[in-house]
Amino acid sequence: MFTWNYQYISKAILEKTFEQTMLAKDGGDVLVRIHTAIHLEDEAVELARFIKSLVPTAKIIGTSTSAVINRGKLAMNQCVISVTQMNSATVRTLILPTVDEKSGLPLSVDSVCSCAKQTVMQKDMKLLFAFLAGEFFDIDRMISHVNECAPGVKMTGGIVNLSAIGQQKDCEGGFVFDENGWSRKGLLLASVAGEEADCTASYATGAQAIGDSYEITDAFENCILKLGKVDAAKEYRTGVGEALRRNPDKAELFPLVYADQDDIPVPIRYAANVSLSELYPPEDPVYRAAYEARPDLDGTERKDRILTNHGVTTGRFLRRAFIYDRKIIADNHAMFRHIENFEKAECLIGYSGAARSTIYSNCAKWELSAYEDSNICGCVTAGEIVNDGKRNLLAYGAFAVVAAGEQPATQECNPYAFSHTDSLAADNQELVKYLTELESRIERRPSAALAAAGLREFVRDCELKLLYSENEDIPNEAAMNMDMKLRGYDRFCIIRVQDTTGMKVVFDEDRIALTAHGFLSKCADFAARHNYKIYSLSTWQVALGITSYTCSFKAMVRHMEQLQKELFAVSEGMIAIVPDFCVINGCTVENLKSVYNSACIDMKKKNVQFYVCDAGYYQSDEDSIRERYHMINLINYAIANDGIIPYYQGIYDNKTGTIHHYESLMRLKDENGTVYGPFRFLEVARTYGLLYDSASAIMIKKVCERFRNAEDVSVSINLGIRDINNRDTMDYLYDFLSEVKHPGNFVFEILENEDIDAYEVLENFVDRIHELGAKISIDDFGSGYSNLQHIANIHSDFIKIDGSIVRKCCESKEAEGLMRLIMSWAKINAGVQVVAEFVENEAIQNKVVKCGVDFSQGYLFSKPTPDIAV
Amino acid sequence: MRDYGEKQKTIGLIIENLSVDYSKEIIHSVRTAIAGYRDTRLIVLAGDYNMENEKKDSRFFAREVNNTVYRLEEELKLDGLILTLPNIGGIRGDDIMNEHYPNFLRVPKVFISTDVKDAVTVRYDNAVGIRETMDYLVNVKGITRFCMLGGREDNADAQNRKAIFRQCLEEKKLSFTDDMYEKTDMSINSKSEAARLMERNADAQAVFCVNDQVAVPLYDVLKERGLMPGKDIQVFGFDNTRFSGNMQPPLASIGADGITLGEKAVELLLKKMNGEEVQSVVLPTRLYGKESLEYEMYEYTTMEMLRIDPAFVKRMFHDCFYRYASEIKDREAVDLERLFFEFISRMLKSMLTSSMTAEEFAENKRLIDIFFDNGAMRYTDPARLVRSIERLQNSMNRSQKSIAANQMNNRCFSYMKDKAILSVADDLDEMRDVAKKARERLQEFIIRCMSFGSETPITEETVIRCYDRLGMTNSALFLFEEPVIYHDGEEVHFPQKIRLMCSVRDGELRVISKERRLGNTSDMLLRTELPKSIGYVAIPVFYGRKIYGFIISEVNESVADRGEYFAKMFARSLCLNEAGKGEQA
Repeated sequence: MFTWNYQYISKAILEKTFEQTMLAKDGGDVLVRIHTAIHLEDEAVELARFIKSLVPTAKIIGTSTSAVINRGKLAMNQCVISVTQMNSATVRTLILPTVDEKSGLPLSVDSVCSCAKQTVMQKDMKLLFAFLAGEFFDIDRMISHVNECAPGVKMTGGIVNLSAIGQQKDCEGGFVFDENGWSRKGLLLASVAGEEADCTASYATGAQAIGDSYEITDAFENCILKLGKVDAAKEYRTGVGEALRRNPDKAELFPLVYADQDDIPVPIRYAANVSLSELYPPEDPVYRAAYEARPDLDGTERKDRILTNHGVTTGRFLRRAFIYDRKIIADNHAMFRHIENFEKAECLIGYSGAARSTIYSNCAKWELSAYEDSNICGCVTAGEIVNDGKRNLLAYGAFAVVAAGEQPATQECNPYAFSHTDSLAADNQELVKYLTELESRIERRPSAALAAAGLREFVRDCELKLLYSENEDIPNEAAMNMDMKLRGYDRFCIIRVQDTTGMKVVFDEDRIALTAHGFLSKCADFAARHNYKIYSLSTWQVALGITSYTCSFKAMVRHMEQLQKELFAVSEGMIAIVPDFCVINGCTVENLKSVYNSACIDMKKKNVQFYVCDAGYYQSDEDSIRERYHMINLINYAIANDGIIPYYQGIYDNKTGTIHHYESLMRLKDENGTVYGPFRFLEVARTYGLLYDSASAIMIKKVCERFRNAEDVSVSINLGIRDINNRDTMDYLYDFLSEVKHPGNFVFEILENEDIDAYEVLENFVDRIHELGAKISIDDFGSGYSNLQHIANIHSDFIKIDGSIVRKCCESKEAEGLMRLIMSWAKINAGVQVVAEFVENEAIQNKVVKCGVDFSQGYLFSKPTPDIAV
Repeated sequence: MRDYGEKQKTIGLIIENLSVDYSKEIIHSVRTAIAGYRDTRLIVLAGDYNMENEKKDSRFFAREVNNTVYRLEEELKLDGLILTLPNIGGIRGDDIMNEHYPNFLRVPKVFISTDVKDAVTVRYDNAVGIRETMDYLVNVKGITRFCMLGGREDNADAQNRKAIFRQCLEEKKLSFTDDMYEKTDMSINSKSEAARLMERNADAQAVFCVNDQVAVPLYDVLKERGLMPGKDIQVFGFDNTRFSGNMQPPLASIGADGITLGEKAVELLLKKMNGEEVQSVVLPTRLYGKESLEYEMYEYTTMEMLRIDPAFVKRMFHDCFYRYASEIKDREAVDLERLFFEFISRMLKSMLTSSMTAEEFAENKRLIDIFFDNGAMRYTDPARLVRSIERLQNSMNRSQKSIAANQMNNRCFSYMKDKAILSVADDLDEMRDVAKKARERLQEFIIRCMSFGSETPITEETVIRCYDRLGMTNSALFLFEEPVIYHDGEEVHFPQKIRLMCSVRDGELRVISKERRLGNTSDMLLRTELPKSIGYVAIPVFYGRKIYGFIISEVNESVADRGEYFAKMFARSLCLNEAGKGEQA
């Protein structure tokens, strides 16, 4: 047996493809499956005929669908053709009508089955495809017939649906077809038989039943009227919340299951305020008999209804079901292993329930990704026939996979697919959110107390499923978010063990597992003793939470310090670990992550393992935010409207007693003419780097142009590392200096207040400037940023003593000492001249002169001004 | 070139007297309000009011010297001022605005209950609260014989309250006679006035005290006459200070309905500092019923209880813990309001579901324990709480459905009552302990600073090393290089430089090394060695006419009560040792 799967593109390409496939003329039967989401009925039949003309021996079956599965991908608006060449197996196919053509009444199941028995079923049958179009046929009973008369035969297929293309409005009414025609009310069967042939089937739903079971005590067609004597719709609503009235779609989140099939969900549609006659028109011959059989029913009464797809008969028991990520993962793992272990997996066939995607939107994509490398082919159906190992069943919202073959073969599956559970977790978050809202809205009215109690219990059960971490009995992150929202948990300590990957290099897995377990159990034990709630975020990360109304933050910090000590005490056989503690006050779901991230950065910077912070602290207050945006507007305005004004402050030569040169300082002017100093805008401009770049470039050009033709006066210009890294600015400067008459008149003051990682760039710049004949000065020397070794390499012409030293040189001996130290260093490095800034009064000036400083700058001599005579 | 910008704003609070309850209340509410603003802090400058015509004895001079602390307002270059000078304002309100200090004229100012022409002022609407009380007493209690212990002639508020009292009586067709009124100096030293009033009005059924303070001597007089406030005679005061709840029996008092004077003043001042126009404000008041005059502000209705309405539980909480609303909400402390909601709502819920399991009961008990262990009783008096609890309990008992659940609830209630009384008793014990320890420490301070001649020379340094013994757990000591001498009637000028000698943070002494001590007087509050706080108080350290410097301390209850005393003890030790040095020389 061998299978080729093609996406249908055009007849011409299809023809070529068939040629290339070179189906063995004398081989076994050829089964061709067509699943189409793009063809209308007649086109589909035409396609089948075309294939038949290419491969006359082919047995063709075709169905409509809303999306196809091909090579592990779900694709809308495609048609997929799967060709299986049997070695010795035989295939029989047939479409049986399910409705009598003349009367329009459904045919009985028994008559259809006996017909099928004579035509399709054969000896040594291993696999039976069954596709039903139209709903007037009890496919459930037909499946149990097959189970009885052909035990061991695996069935697959289901109820076909339709993508919303063409004229059809109702996308549920799919059709089946072969080369002889199509049917909207028919059953398509195909059997595979052969001594060598073998197949296996498995399925995944992710559903689990929760709580009590209810008997269906009254039903009409697919509508459940009463559950355990009470109104079914009301009862169901109690289980999933009043919100259902406003939002009937939510019904799909909480399907039901039949009590005898624990994990096969029955999707529920919730219809508000409808009558039975609207759902099932009595004039329709199909329903006429049903109404006649139930004269007691009032077909016109409008009320809320719940509708399911099949199997609604009185006497069956229903339970509430819950689909959640961990069960989906577990189910798929099991199914994957089942398929993997099958010996003759030459061909894979998969059918996924349409309801599945609506409940868990990422589910189908996620589980299919495991089969990306295999030649799986199938489609989405409205209902699937699954096999639980013993018998065949009809399921809704399941993912069914069948592996078949005649010779030993394995399928290449993608084993890493299952580790990426993020998309499922995202769906889970949605579900948790819904439950959270549900819980917060649970009725407070005394009359609703009982119903609310039942609902609360259901929600709690769901939570239990959702909120516990995979391995240990500890709630997970979703539980943490829920507690934050609902129960006022707002003080958290996040404990994380770092560098666990390094552990694997040295220690064996058992020892690591033991240590992880010890870590977790110590934390859990501590939490239990001190009334904290513990959450497992990942193997090496837990959070301990408490409410602000039961414990003060101080007490919490004390507890955490104690826990850190306890964790540090290593017991035998365990690896020594160093957990990071981050204790946060005032957490909310919104801020916790970001606060924790910034705390982590801070912890790393400071190399601390215990960190305490307040989430409120990270929120900027309104005033500073407003100020920031005001400044951004101002800078933008200044850039656009010539508002960047160079001011000049004279630098006084202590030997000659004259102004030696000017320092240019940036000022901004707003539309009212108000002038702003740099401390208001420079920080903001730096954080918005591009703003700084353009403002700085304008400033540099203005100053350069002003002094272009100056003969005997020089100017200094401040440059940050950003400027030096800015090509445009540098190109301008180099060009300017090479054409100007007296390049020696230009001094560049380098601000070292940013961390510099590439000193090469800086040294390169300095050399270029010197080559061109200009000079270099180091600004804010001694301010704490300057690295002496690098400064020695820069060969500057001036250094400027930081203002904080100069200011204090009269009061503090230490400051004076520092100044003298700088002076003596300058003396040794002949040629370096020293400037003191912030010379504010005579006393400082006297001291500065006494120390031998060459130049002074400050209010004592001149204030910065835009107007100087040059 | 870098620029150095100051973002921190400092607000001065100028009050008349540090240790009286009215001032403490204002300080507390201003500090509470300031805690809500970033980069804003408070410095309290408290003087002592001297009547113009007072005898010039040592008490007079001590007050005059103490008043030099007001000069700091000019030195420290504050960004805003809140002034509450109800007594001074009455006499020389207009003078205040004409003070010649340039900084004072420049800074934005808000006054509290002070009569100053054209100034932004925050004051109580006396009428609403008094009227509410009088209506209740006349219409509900049927009381006809009133009298009033009034205030000073020069205090506008006191006069206003008297006028309203009189007007209310007249509206109710009850006449006001001068016999029914006695003026006092509004302090606790008004026993003779109270006695005279009660002598004249022996059959009075209700007494209105112009403030909470004067109720103290009135209580004494009533006790002597065998009258029990609340039972035999209704007594109510004004200002609803914290200590009115500690009186025995707790004193009913008229106080702010919602926002307090201090909070409003801070709000207005900060607006003014931002350049906004602000107007004077009159704040509504209401009666806070306590044992001396039982008055229920709310009914607990069955419907509300059954609904477990959070707003209802919140109201009940504030009814029981009537001081909570005006306290600083510490982000890091236990949220008592929410905790109260947690266990009360569980109890109410058990009424609905008719069941409370043993586990639920144990959990509730645990929550109640946490509640009281975290100082819930600071916000109420036990009598008030017990009454409120009983009211709730009675209503719940009336509407109960299940005897079993109700029994559990009743057990919870009685547990709460026990805890309430126990925790008050514990607090008292603790207070006694603290007082005893403080006394012992102070004694040690005195002994350590005693000089026994040349074998044990005591220097300024020795005294400073004992500074922490005073027990001001978060404070710093500033001394001038030479003491400033106060000359009668002359303006004092503080030197430009002052030495920060030592600081105490959380009780831990740090003596500053000699090189670092000297700094500008105007930068006192900028020194990084100061203990971190949002509210400071400056207390002058003086002995006789010598002003040595200041203690800048975190402002709290104990400093308000004893800070000035400690400062004087310290100055005395400094002075005595100076004298000793003189002898030895």
